Amino acid sequence: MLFIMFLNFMIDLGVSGLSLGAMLKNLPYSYFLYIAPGANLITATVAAFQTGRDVWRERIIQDTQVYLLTLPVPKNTFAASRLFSGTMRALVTTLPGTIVIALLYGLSFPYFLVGLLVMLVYSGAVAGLSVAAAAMANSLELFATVRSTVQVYLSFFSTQFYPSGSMPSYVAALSTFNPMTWALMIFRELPGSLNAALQTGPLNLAQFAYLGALSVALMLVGFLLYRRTMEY
Amino acid sequence: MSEKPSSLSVIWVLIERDLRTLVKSPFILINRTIFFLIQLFVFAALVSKLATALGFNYFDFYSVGAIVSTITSIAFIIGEDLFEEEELGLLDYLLSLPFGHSLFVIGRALGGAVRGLIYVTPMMILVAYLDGYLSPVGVAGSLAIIFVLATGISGLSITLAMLIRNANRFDILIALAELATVRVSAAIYPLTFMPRALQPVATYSPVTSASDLVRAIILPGYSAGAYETVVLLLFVGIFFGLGSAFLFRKIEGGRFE
Repeated sequence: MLFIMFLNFMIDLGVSGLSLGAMLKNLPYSYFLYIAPGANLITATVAAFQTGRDVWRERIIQDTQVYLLTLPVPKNTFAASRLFSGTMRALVTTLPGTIVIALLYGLSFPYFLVGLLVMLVYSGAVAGLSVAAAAMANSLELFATVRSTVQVYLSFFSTQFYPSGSMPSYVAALSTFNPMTWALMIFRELPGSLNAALQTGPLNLAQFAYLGALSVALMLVGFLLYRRTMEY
Repeated sequence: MSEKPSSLSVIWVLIERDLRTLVKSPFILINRTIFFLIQLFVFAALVSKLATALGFNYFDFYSVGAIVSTITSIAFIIGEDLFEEEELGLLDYLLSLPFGHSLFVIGRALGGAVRGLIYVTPMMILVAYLDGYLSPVGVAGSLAIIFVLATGISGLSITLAMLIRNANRFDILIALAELATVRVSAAIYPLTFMPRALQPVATYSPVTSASDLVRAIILPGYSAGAYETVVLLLFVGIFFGLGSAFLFRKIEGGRFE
């Protein structure tokens, strides 16, 4: 899975990123570097959503949740561990991609760790959301619809492909509250080649606070809804 | 004693079954339509605004590619359906029905393609209208081209579903196959802007061929012909005719995980 996800990331970055970058050479910055972190964040989204898919399959298809709840682990611990393990799985899955982004951006090691932290927090938010969806959806159709809706919102209503200044007002408004936008802004503000080109200025810690708060909130929602499915 | 059903009636029953799932899955229908509209009116519109020095209308270019990539995405779903049927115990029942397994594969692949075609027909009409193309014959021809593509993609998806028995691995691999099929093609960006090493690969992509053929019909200044048609038909021949029918035998006695 690690290899396939990295391949996914490399296709996204190496094909779409380079092709779109070649098309948009008229911009005063490298479009390829601009969209690069988004490719890794999309991979994180896919990886983190696997957590929800696993939970859904256990509940609905395999019917193994009942067995899992008989294990000698408190239900709260079990639910929290699923969320945490899903987050860590997404972080590990995107580690090669994060390294690639750090190399492309010329990040020093401390800022690479900051990038890892961003991936961790973002993955937690998406894992929480996916588990929440899995806990509420009783059909594959509904779960798949929620998953693809989330992915569309995160990708297209964010600054992944276009700066907020170029967006119509309704897209800009939706993008302002998008965790992908916050994560991307943090990456692009990290001292490196793109920071200078975009003139983004110093790292804005408020973005971290927003992303962290949302991540905690979504993980809590995912935890509570998942926990509710364990009561019969 | 009742007569054995004809091959055509079996295929029709299988297609009809897949069409009924279309009606029973309104969320997916609505979701994919909204996704397509967002691709067009958000992504394509905004990137076109940024791409002012290209020398061609990127929105028009992308609009055709969005149709092709949408039907590719929908056609891949048939493999997921097979997985779900197996997990629900339905696949064993379907295989016990009194018709050959090759017919089953053909029927399912065509069903996936017809389902995709019904999904994208309104989108195709919208794109033709937005691109200023109003010929019903041309639109019908474009739909025929993307139907052929969808048949091949359905066959590819079924082939992958038979090769990979683990649902998680299949889920990720099918997403990868879909990404590679669409991204390593001229669906969403012209070949000339792709990395040089990938241009020869993308040239042989059936998605490139389908996109080029439809653009040649709908958009002025684009051309395509026999080469693209041959590539498309070869792709369908391999995955729909040979790959699916041959590999399908392997699932006898094997279990999905």
